[in-house]
Amino acid sequence: MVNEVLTVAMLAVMAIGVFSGFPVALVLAGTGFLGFVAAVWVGITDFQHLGLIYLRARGVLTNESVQFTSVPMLIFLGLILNASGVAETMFRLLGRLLTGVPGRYAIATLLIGLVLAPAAGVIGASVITVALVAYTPMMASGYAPRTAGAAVAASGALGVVFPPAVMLFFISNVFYLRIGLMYVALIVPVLLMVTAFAIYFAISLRKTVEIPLDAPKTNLGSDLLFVIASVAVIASIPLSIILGFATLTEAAGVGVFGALLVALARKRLSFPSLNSVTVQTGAMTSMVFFIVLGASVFSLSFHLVGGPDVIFDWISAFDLTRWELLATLLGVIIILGFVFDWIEVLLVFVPVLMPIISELDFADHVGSAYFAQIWIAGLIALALQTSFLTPPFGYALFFAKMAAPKGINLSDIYRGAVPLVAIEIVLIATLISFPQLVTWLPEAALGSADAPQLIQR
Amino acid sequence: MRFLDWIDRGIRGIGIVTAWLTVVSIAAYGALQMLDRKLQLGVSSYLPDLSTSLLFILIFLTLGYTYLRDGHVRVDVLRRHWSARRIAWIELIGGFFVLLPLAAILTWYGWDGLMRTTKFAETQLWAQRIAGVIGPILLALAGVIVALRNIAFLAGKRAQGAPEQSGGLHNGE
Repeated sequence: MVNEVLTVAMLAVMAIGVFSGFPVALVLAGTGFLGFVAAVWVGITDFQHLGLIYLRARGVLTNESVQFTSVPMLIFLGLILNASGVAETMFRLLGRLLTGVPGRYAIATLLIGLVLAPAAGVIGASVITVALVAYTPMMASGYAPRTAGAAVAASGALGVVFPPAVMLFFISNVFYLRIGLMYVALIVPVLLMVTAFAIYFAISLRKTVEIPLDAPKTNLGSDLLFVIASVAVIASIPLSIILGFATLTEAAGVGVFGALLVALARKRLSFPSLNSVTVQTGAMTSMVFFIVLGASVFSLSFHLVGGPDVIFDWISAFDLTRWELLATLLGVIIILGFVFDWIEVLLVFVPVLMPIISELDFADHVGSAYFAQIWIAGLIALALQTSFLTPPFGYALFFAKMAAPKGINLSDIYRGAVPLVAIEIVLIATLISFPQLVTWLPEAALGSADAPQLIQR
Repeated sequence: MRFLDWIDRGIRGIGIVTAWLTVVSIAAYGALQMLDRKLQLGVSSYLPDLSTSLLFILIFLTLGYTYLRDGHVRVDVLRRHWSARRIAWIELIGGFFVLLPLAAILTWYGWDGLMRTTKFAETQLWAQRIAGVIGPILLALAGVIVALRNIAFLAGKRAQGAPEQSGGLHNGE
């Protein structure tokens, strides 16, 4: 009984704190501390153990076997590429290449989203960059405001689950999966999603006639080279991990220097911009890991008061089948994603739900226990991404509004996003029924000789 | 108020210097390690792996800086509709009841950890432990600055609350 009261109290205090708008990391750490005090009060532990929580939290940050150092590298890489203006150039190029395709500017906007993958979801700047270049031609070509807004929002949400996204790194950590396999697992689903979105835009925009871009005259060849070089820098990261050349940190470190070279070659790298990029990387790293710190304090106290067991018992009481449980889980993640960033969902809530997730045995459906984990992790990633696009709270929608020109209201973007969310849900359902779509590429990349025990049927 | 601005500038300065020293070194070290293994230069066996320590130092020494620039993530579903006074009150209460106690706990255990570090420990461990004390102190100072500015704002002596909501880090300045 005590456990239940403390569990509910901790969750309630956290909810109040979080909605008050105070920094989430501080709220988590503060709630964790209160939970600890409560645990001392009811005699579960004593104050001597507070030092252990500190040591545990410090240990999380200094654990060398978890490659946390790759996080600042991916953020740094993302910011450098953003400063180099690759999004803008790529948009111009794709806009020209796709001539004749209906809805080409919307499709070009979508594709840029994939290039923004490294730091998508951490830096909003990249979505704004897309918005700045994409809105004008879309509006000038007579796209409905809701379609233009939805294209920008979708572009902002796509990168979050495409390799080498930071979010996938954290998911693979939470589930103890190989980061390389996690990256590869999401390639097919995301490409399917891009295709579905592109078809949707092409059909809904079939009647519009796109006006050509009034872009400044630039050298087509050097633009093309620039875009190819940037894409190569990004693609080299998942590739070198899966081929066994490098760890994620090393690959991202090399990627940073590649991106610096590309930006230098484009003459887009002045000292002030490099300074701002470096300092922003520092501040964002601090932001991410302050949440890691707060979440670990919260989780330790939450475990101390028996929170995960209480929640497990509650959910078990419903006596759901594994399919119903999976659907509930994904639904809960989508709802949590409305309010929280993915960092908090992955570091606070997924660990709390872990006892339930590990009860889900889909080895027979997916092929092997390990790949069942990859499959569930992939579904969770896509569920989170769906929540970013879902009105009225999705963060991608707000970013799409923030940079929108006059004439595009938030309600337009909301209406435009609804079909996209419907497409995503259909896609998630498809992936649930055909797990091969997720597991096929990682299995092929792994090769049966490399790790037969992982693929074993 | 002048005095606060000096401390503010000090915290920012430390944040900027730390970011440069750590971010660039982590990138350089990661790249060097990979090249070294591929080209078999044998350089990295002389270099200790500092990146984890550097990351720890980066995180701790920029906590206060990030708070001053309002870089720590907030859930603004409701906040966005609130008045500036209400936001300042919440920030003030949160500062006194959450941020400062937390910074005190972190400083206390950081100091404890530093005192337990023996002279035989590696340099990087020393650097980590020192950052573990200084970082929370900087966070507390940032908290005090923000709290005093909010008090000034609530008393009508300042045009806006703190930390300034300039859109800031997440929107790319």
